Amino acid sequence: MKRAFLGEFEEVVLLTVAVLDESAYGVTITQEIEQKTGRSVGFSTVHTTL
Amino acid sequence: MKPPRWANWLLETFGHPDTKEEVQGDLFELYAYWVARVGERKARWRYIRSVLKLLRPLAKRKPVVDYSTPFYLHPDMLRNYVKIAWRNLIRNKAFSAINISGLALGMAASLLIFLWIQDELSVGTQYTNGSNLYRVMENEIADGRIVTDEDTPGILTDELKKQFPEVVHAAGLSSKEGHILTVGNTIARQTGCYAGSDWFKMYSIQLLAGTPDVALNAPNNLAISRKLAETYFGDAQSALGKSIRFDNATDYQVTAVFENLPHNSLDKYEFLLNWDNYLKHNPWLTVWENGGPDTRLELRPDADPAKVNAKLKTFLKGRNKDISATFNIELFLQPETEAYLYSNFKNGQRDGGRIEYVRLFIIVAVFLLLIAGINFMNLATARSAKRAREVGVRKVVGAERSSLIGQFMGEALLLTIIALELAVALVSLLLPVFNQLTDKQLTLPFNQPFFWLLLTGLLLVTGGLAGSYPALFLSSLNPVRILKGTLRFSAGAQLFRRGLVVFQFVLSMLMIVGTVVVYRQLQYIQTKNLGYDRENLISIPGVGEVAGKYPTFKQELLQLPGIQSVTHMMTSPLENGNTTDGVHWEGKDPTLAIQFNNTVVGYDFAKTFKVKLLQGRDFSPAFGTDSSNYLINQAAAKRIGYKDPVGQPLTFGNQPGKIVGVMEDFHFQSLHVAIRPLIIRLGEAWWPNNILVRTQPGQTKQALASIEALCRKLNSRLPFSYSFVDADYQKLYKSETVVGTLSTIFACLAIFIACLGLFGLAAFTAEQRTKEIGVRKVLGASVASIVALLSTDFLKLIMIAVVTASPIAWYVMNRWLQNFAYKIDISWWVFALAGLLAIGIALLTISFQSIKAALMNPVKSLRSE
Repeated sequence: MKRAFLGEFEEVVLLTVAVLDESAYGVTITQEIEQKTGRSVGFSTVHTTL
Repeated sequence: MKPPRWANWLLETFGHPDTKEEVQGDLFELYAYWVARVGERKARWRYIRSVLKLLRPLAKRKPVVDYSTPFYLHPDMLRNYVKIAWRNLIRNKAFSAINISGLALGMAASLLIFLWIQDELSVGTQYTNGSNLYRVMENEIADGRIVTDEDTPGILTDELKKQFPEVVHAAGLSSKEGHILTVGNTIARQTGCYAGSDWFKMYSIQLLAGTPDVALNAPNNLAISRKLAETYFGDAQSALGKSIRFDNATDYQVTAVFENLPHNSLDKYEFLLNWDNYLKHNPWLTVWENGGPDTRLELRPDADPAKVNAKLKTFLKGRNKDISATFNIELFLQPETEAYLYSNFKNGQRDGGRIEYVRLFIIVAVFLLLIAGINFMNLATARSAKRAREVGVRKVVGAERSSLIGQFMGEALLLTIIALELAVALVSLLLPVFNQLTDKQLTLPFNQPFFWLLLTGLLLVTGGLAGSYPALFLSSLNPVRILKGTLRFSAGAQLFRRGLVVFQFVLSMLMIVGTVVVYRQLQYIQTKNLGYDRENLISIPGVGEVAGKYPTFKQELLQLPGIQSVTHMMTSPLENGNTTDGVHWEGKDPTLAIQFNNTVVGYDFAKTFKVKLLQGRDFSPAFGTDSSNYLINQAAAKRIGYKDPVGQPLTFGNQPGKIVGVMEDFHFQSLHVAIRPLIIRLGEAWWPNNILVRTQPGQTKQALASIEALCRKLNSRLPFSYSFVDADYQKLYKSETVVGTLSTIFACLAIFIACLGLFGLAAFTAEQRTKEIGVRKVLGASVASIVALLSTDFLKLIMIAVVTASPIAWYVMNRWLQNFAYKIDISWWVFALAGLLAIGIALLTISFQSIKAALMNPVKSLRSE
């Protein structure tokens, strides 16, 4: 699989990391995405993406 | 309120070890959060799902490659490989030429050898039912010795067919006879045999006219080859039913015409005559005690040859009345397919034969290929310093080791293909000469898939062998070190290269020694004093009136100028295989059966042959009673044991007589066998098979002309034929001569190819050490000292090779010489000579390069930086 661009979810995760800044880690990112986007996000998905 | 423990265990065991702790912590936190938000049951469920998704096979990182992987077989890449290979080839013209010519020569030689071997292996195997064909051989056990031959009783074939249900067909074959065949005005001497009536049923020889059933079934039947049919009658069909007059006396009717025998046929004849006719003319062959012709069998396909062998072993017991406690003849079978290659027997056991030459040449072919392959390896690794940069750059931009190996192997194969094409061209050019040399009719079988398979095999083996080490070596180099310019060859690589040079020269040395020994043995054979003077001795076959009126012929011959004496002999003077155990004397142990070779001669035998008489006298008409007197040789005298043999009684068969002379031992058989006891009877009035004329040295030419005139007068309808005994003698050792010539050629090739490699290596070393030489010269080194410096390294290697090869060569050649009863000793100087030769040639090769390097102007070599 060759690609040099970000997927949509990856972008969301990355943006959330930027927003949370110092306090960004698996749990907070998952909760933040859940709250802000309203979709249900699995922890493992976030973890893998990270 | 704890998450399920088994899920934790799963995570601990199968989770990613690096992130385990972090993930576990996060999950605990989330679990608490989930419990608070959606209740415990759902939280557990989510927890388990998360754990499962994080287990390693599921949570495996997707292979994220941020840059493209090179595709090694991409057309661009391939083009690049070929371009680089071609540039290398062109830039190093000398090295490429050395590599390609060495490989081409090696492969050409192995191809020639292969063709020769294939032909040797095919002799006698062309019959469709070949695996059921057998020859009956016999072991004569007498006097503590076993003599193996094919001379079976003439009535054996019929008896075997009657007694053995396993035998489908059986046919005898007489030894070859020369006859004058006349039809109208076409008169020529032809050779052929008598054969049993089953002959054409056993051997799948195509009949152009006639049928196998009737071809040889009546006494005056005659089967002729297509060549004879065309010579005498124009074509095969018109020959059928016509008659041919033999020796101006007997008419035979052509009942079959067979296709010309292929050149790889073991039995060679132009015509075949009926077997009953043969037995009628040779009644002595119809008793079990006498042997002469061959016996051939075709067994049923389901027959067990071992069982037949067991029955044959004692078959003659009770039939042959001579068999006693001390004398025995055991029959056994030899498969037709083995008859050519395994013709030697020692103590009744199969003991090689031509198969030894086949094996020898397989080894030679492998040697030559090895030497050429080693050249390639050596030059490639030696020059790897130059290719190393390329390897470094390729590795840095992402070449993997396997692709580099592929590249270098491919290059080696490319070179090998060029070499192979050259080799095939060379072979097709040399084949006529090679054929003449080996007396074969070899062709390049381009239409046989097997041949292409062989070429491919040769290509892959040679290319693979030659390319493997350079490919592995070059691809293993470390790119950082190469590009930093601190590439050093490891001691191992250098040792390996030196080992290869030593190996090459060991092989070359082996071949030189082999050649010298074979050559000297041949020289020895050709110049050996046989005990009689074989020069100026003419042999005339006894046919027609020349033989019929022998006394007149002899008288008239003696009147001619330049002729010293005339005699005749029943057997060939060079190959007398007639043996008998019917010689008796006073005081002989009656239970002993001692084999004597025997022959019948005319008057003046010793005089004509110039055999030295130790005691007594020659047969001479001056003594009226010689017809029951005997001449014996020294070996016989020793065996008989009389103190003073001349005048002592001796009985041959049932004819008592006296010994009139003892001759010094002379060779009447090939030098492969020791001189055996010989007894000679006088038979002046017998039919002279071979008339032998001793001419005066220097007058042979005139004498021959007058002999011819005389023969033509007596045999007006027969052509005059004759041969020189010394020329016939040379022919006896034809296979040795061929082997000698071939081994000389191949040894020269081997050393040449090895020197090519050495030349390349020397050039390389000289090039590498240009600066060193420059500095040395500036500091005052002489040319001689620099040459010595460059040469000693190589000389040491060759010295080691010489020392290693000598004992091996001695062992191998000693075994070859065991085939001869009369042989040279391998003296130390042969090794010294071969060693000096190898060192000399190598030195010559190296010195060209080292002198060139030493003479270079140091200003030039040092200026470049």
